[in-house]
Amino acid sequence: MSKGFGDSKMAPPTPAAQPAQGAPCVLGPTLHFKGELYGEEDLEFQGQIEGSIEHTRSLSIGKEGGVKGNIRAKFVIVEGKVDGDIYATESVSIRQSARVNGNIFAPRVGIADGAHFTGRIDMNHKGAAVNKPLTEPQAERLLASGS
Amino acid sequence: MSTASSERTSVFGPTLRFKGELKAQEDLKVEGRIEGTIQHQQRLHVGQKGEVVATVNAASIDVDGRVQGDMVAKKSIKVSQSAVVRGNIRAPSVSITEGANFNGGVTMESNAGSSGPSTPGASSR
Repeated sequence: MSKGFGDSKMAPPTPAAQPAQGAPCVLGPTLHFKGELYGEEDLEFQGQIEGSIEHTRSLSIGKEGGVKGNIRAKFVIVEGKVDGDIYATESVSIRQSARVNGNIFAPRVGIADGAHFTGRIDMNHKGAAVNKPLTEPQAERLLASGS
Repeated sequence: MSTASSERTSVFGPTLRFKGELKAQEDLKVEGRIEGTIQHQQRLHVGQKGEVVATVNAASIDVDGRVQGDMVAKKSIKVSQSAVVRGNIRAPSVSITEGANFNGGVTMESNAGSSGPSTPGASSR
């Protein structure tokens, strides 16, 4: 009857900085969001979302998590599925179990061996997510200039 | 508070804001703000910091925070002392604690559980 709450689950991989203030907020696997989600606390997302996520801290897309839409956050850790662009002001970490289709804009990007990733990576784009969201034409110009 | 019991409850934290449709099949505690609709199959708990501006469907609903919108539960709705509710509620069992701020209608329907077009066979002649 022991609930695997602590160790058996993947410990929320808090990259550097944050001294975790208690448990991060966890959104479970049966949650389905359709719309816009904003947050200012460490978040572990195991559910499904169709829409955008705007986050100011560490965001982790768990193994069961799925995102269709763009993600903006400080740190992004992906272990699940993402269809959309990821913008991070600090870093993006794509773990082994992840499947990502989209572009990544972050000063630091890591992709683990075994991860599935299709898209472009731009590391010279820091600050975009803080100051203002990248507009569509800007993004397209960036992509076009690269190819 | 009764947060000591470490049940597998998802918590929608206090800084989270969501606009849109939310569907869920597990217990959820809302401490953030949700605008839109909530379709829930289990227990929904709107915490003290929670703010829901939405039409809510769930198995049971506990309100400690603010809710603006109609709520329908298959089992029960509990409105606690700290709650502020504006909207109509419908459930077989409804409780409103003294001290709660509630403005709206209450419908206690024993067969609210069947969401389909059930024919009320009450009068048999």
